[in-house]
Amino acid sequence: MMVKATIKVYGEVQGVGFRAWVARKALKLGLKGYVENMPDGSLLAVVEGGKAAVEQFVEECRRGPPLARVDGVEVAWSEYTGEFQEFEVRYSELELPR
Amino acid sequence: MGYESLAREFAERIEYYRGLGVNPFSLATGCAVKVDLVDVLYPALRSIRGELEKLGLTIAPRRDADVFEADPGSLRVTRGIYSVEDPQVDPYELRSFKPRRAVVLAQVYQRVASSPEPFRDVVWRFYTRVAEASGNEITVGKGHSIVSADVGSQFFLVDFMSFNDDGSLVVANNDTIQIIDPAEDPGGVLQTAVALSNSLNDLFTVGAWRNIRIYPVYDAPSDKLRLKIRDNMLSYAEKIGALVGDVSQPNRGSLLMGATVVAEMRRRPPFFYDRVEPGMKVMVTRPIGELAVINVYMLVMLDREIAEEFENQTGIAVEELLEIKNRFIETMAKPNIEVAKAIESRLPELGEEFNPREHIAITTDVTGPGVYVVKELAELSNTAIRLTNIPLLDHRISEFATRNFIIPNSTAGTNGAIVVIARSEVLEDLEEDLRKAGLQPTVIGYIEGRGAPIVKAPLKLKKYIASKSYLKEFELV
Repeated sequence: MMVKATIKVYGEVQGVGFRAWVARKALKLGLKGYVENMPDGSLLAVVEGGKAAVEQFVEECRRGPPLARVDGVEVAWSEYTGEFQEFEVRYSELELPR
Repeated sequence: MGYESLAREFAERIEYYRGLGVNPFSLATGCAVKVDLVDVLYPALRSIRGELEKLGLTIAPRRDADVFEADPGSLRVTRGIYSVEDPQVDPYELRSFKPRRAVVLAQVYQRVASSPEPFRDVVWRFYTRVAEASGNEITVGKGHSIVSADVGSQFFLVDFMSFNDDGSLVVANNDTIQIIDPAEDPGGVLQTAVALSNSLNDLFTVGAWRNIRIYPVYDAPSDKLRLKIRDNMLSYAEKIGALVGDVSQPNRGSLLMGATVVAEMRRRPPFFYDRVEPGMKVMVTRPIGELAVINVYMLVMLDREIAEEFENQTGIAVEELLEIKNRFIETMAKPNIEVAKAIESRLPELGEEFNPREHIAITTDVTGPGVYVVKELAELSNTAIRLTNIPLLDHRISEFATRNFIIPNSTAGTNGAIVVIARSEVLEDLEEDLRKAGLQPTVIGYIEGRGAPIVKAPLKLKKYIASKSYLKEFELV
C-alpha cells in the first residue's frame, strides 16, 4: 500500500547535517518527496512510498544523525498522490549565494 | 592514523567549538552567511537609495570590489563601529576626517535579514545618521552584509576613506568568513590565511596587487582566541609585504575573520563587458570545488556509515581524504598574487583603449556560487556562454557530495580560482605565465554569441550541483 507522510522533526535538527542524512535514508528506502529546514528551527520531510518503508523512515527521523538531538516528531498521514518524481533537499536562498 | 582515532579527534574538536558557543556545521560553508541579495538586500536598498542620495550618501552599484579614483599616497582610513539598534555617529569626528568613500560591514540578526522591511529600517536609520554626521558627499563603494544567529552580535563596521584625486586608481574590498576548516583549531594560521586571502582575492581578480593595506576584522568568543587571530593576521601581512592598519574591532564575541583591504591599481580594471565577443574563451586559473571536500570530510568523520559508503563509492580511504582536505585548505590559504600580476600585465594602461588582441576583457573569482559565477558574467556582458568543461579539484568527492546532498553546490569555493574571458591568443599567453607560477589553468568554455545572457553547460553538471534552484539557471546540453 502506497502512502504519504508529512513529518516535522523538532529539537536540534538544523546545522547538524540532518537533511543530508534524511535524504540518504529516503533514497535507500526508495521514497520520493523532499526535506527542508523550517524558519521555526524544525525540519519538514514530506515523503511518499510503500507504507512499511515510510514507517521505517519515520523511525529513522526519531533517531537522527549523530550531532542531532530529536525532541519530538509529528507525523500526518495522507493519501498517496504520486506528485514527486524523486527525493530532493530544498535549500533556503541563504544557503545559495549568488 | 585510523578512522577511529581521526573520528575521536574530530569529535573533540566539535566539542571545543561547541564550548565556544559555535556550531561548526553551520560555519562549514566558506564565506560568512550573507544577507540574501535578491530577496532582501537589493529590494531594501532600492527603496532607500534615492532618499539617501538627497542627503548626500550614494550607494554604489554592486561590484565585487570598489574601484575609484584616488591618489593612493593620500588615502587615509579610519574605522567606526556602531550599534544596529541605536547607532551614534559622532559628527565632529566625521567632519574632521572628511570621508569621501566608505566600505561597510553589517552583521545583523537573522530576523532582521529575513525580509526587506526590517533590513531596510536598520540600514536607513544607520545611513541617514552617517549622512547627517559627515556633512559632505560620501559614497558607500562596497557593502558586505552578513547574518548572525545571535542578536547581541549585531554591528555596523565602517572603514571611512579620505583622499585626494590625481587620476590614479585605488581598489577596496571587504570580506569575512567565520571559519574555513572546523576540523582544525580556529586559531590556526591557515584559517586566518584563507580569510585574508579571500578578502584580497577581489583585488587580485582585477589585477591590483601593489601597495596592499590590510585593515583587519576579527572577533572571537575569547580574548585569547582574538589575540591569536590578530597575531596570525600580522604574520600573514608581513609575509606578503602588506601594511596593516591599526583599527578597532567589534568585540561582540562571535567568530569572525576577514578584512577591509585596499591596493593601488596601475591599469584599467577588466570591466570591458561590452567588448566581450563571440569566439572569446573562458578560462579558470585552477580547478574548483574546495568546499565540497571540507563538508564531505566533516560528515565522514561524524558518521561511520557515511565513511564506509564514501570509501566504497569513491575508492578513497579516509586517511587520504584527510590529506586531500589539508592540501586544498593550503591551496585556499595561498594569496593569488601571481595571478594578479599576470592579469595586470594584460590590462590597458590608464587612458589606453581596450585592445582585444592584447587585453583581458573580464574577470571574476569563483566563490560560494561556484560555477554559477559564469552566469553572472553572461548577464553582465549580455552574452551566451558555452561551458565545455568543469575542472574540479576532485570530481569523485564532488560527485559524492552531490549524490548525498552534503552541499548544495559542489563547485563552490572560497579564495577560489579566477575566471578570465579574453581572446585565445591572450589566454594562451596567460596560461603559460600561470603554469610557470605552479597553477593549473584550464579553458572551460567560450562565448557563443551576444544578446542573450545564457549559459549552456554539459549534462554532467547535475553530478556536481544538488540545488535545483542553481541548476535551472543553466541550459544543460
